[in-house]
Amino acid sequence: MKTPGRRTLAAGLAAGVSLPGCTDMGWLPPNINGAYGGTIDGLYYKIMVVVAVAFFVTEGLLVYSIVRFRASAGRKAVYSHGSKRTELLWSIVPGFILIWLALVQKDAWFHIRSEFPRDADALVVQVMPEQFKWNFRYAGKDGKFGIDDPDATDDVVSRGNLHIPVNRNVVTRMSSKDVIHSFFLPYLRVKQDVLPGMLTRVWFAANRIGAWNLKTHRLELLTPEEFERAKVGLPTTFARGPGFTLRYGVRDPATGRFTPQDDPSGAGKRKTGRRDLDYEPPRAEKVPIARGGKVEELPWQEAGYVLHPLEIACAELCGNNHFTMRGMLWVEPEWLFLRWLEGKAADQRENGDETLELWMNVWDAQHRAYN
Amino acid sequence: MSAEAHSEHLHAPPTSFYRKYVWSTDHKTIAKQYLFTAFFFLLLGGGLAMLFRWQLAYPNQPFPILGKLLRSSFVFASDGSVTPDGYNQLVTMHGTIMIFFVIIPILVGAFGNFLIPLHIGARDVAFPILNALSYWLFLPAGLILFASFFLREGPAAAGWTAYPPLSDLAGAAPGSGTGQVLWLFAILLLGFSSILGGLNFLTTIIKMRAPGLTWSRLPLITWAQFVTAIFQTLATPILASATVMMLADKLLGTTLFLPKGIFLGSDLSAPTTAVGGGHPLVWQHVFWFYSHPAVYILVLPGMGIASDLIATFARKPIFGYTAMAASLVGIMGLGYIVWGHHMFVSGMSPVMGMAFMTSTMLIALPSGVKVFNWLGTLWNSSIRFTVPMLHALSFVSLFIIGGLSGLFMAATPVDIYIHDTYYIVAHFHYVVFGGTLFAVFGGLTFWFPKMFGREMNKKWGFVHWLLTFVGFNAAFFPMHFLGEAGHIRRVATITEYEFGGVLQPMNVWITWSAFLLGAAQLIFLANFFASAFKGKRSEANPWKSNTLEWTTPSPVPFHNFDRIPTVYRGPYEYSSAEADGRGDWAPQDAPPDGRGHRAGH
Repeated sequence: MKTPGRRTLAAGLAAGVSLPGCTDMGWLPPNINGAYGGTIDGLYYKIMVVVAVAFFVTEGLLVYSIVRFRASAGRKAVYSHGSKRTELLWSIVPGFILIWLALVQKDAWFHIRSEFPRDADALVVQVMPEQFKWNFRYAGKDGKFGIDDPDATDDVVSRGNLHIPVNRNVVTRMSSKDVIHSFFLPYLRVKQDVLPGMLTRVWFAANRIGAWNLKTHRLELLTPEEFERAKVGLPTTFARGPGFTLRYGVRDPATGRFTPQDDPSGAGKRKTGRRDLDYEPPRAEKVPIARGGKVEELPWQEAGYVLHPLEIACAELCGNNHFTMRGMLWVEPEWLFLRWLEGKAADQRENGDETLELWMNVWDAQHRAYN
Repeated sequence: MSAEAHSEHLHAPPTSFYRKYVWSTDHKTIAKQYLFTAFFFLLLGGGLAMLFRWQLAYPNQPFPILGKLLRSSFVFASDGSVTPDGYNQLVTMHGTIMIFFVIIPILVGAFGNFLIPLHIGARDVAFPILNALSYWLFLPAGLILFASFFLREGPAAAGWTAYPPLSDLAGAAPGSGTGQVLWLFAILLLGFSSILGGLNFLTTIIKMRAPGLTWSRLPLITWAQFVTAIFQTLATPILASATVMMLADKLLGTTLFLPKGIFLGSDLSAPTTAVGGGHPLVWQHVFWFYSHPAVYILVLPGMGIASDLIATFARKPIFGYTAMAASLVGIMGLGYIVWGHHMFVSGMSPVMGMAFMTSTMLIALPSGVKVFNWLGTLWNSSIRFTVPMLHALSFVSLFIIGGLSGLFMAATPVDIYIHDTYYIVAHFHYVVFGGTLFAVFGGLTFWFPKMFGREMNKKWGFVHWLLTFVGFNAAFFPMHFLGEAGHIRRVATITEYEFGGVLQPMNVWITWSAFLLGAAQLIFLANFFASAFKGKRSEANPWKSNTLEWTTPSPVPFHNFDRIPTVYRGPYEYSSAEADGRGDWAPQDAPPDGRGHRAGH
């Protein structure tokens, strides 16, 4: 029964047990959900405080006991079966704390999941994921969803890209084409499974706009006021013409030099899959730049930012390419959003869209009640 | 009673190889059969984890050696890297194997079988033939699951939770055809094995306790096995029904989990499910109605083992024995009404979410009471840092972390964000690995002398514990950060996402920590088998422990006890006035002669 180096062992065990407690709380991504994002993070930190206290008290007692009550010559354990009073105390107090923790979630939970804005006061978007893409539909001018004739509809459809106006309530009405997916917007603290044969809904409001700072080479989140004061270039994917082009590549941490590569995960000796990104200057001299509520053709050098999408992730295992099921969330000032919507509608009238038939044959034919 | 014991008719031990090692009805042999089968699956399930950890750290890079050897087969692409569907198959089978074929068989099959009769002073379980049948249903279940690796399209790939329609529709994923059917058959067989085992243990504990062994004198591990057996008997049939329902969907053409209007692939001319009428959420409800109680099947015996080890090596009675037993029962009661907390973002009604959140918060209470009582036991004790005790103390410290992180996910609004991220992966590994597996290692080292008549090597036991404790925390603690950062689970690589790229260095760190953790387990297995053959011979009671198994020789003889013992006191009477004399312990079967020791011992 004698173990060598008990003092060392006790100290080592004590250190090991307490190490995981030194946690950093800075891992949450930015939060731009003006509707209730702050509430979720606030509750997260509230639980963190309770948990941290419980953690340090219990692990502290454990470590203390390990060191203080280790066997030594002449030490004898105190014979005791416990104390009813102590047990009652440490049952009742945590019991109240736990019930309190459940109660403080209640209002936020029902606000998020039940108190939807009226359709008239919000932008309603339909979401129909499929293996492994996100499809979105806007109601168009008549405010009604439903496609009877793909050539004559005013519904606006979009694949992969969800555009929403800043500071406006958005309601997504979602149903899956095939298996279960999960609509996850990390920056908005939004997550909701999307099932076939069933309608699920979420609502949210983004209060900041994603923009890539061309000087610092970083994503920034601008308030609408900051956006209007800045000169924000439009990327090619948004402008559907000459614009800034997003490139993936590798940035040398020492020099800051960015080397675009088609497969940046192939860089380096042991490839850890790290990808940096940046925008390439456009080939054309003048590019569309948003400034003060309108888009102008200006020399590209004048732009300080490029409008940059945030990400939509699928959070439910949905098949072999689940990990590629990434969508783009474009938060824009209202005027820029309307400009995009009109442009997309015009483009659709002229060239059609590959997903119009999908909406008509799947959603409208099978689940017209969801409109 | 002792006169009766003398006159009872005892069978001679079997001598043929077949009756001794294959179709054995001896609970000790069956326990070892479960244990060795589970060791095989532990190596397999752990090995799968090494493969997908490599993919997560070095996406699409060839896996060293094995990837080259098996290229274009198993889960590997032609360049030896893990394919995306291979990745999904790896995580699916890792989860399935570790839960159903490692943890449950070790805790219930091995520990339950070996310890219950010894702890209650019985010669065997109530139904020895049923007991053998349980194992011989379990083994084919494992073999069926293992066979699915050799299918052309590979094993199931829909996650260990097998959510339909992904698992239900053969065309939805490469593993959702025959692979998923084999998965369902394996789980169904395992379910029957589990129900038979549960019934057997319940009967044994209720009917076969030695004279004087009242409920309040049962070791807590036996209480834990009792509660676990109730779970097994009453919850597993629900899982069995769910698997039968999905098998009907897959083989008989029903649509119990399938709504109408699903379109798989790009063909829009007709839906894949023209009839429908089913609902995918039904599976989630039924599955979790079993699988949440299953989480407690995974941890309650671990709690029991930890309680026995802590009392023995702290040389002190368990603090609040009644509360410890009551909290096990409390966890069982509440364990049946918390399943919906797996479904907060599933589309279930928010009112249900609120109800399940409250019940989930409340289930933290009995778990908390257990932690406090372990701490109370250590207070004013005299702790012996043996290898089993190091594991038991690790169990307590890691279970605290696993329990506390559960509160974040119990809170519905917070769960919206961290649901299906690495936060949950960290949480359940802290409970099931940090908790249960540490208890398993502690328990195996502790009862090893009873199984093989020898002791496990202390030095290598210590090295294994140290590397496991370090490797485990290094691998799993950072997953909380990844979850906080939005790293979704079950993705072959997060680098597809811009927000995921910056998390990649942490993935590399976790992978190398996991390799350390995996390698450390080889030390355990080597020590286990080397000690079984070459270890130091053990005396009957090397740890100076009180419970009945230590009153019989090591290894335990075929009939367990020369005569059925009579029990005079509770299991944890350490350092009592009664025990004063030659030591600080008082065996349960020693008549109260003022010295706490059996005559002639």
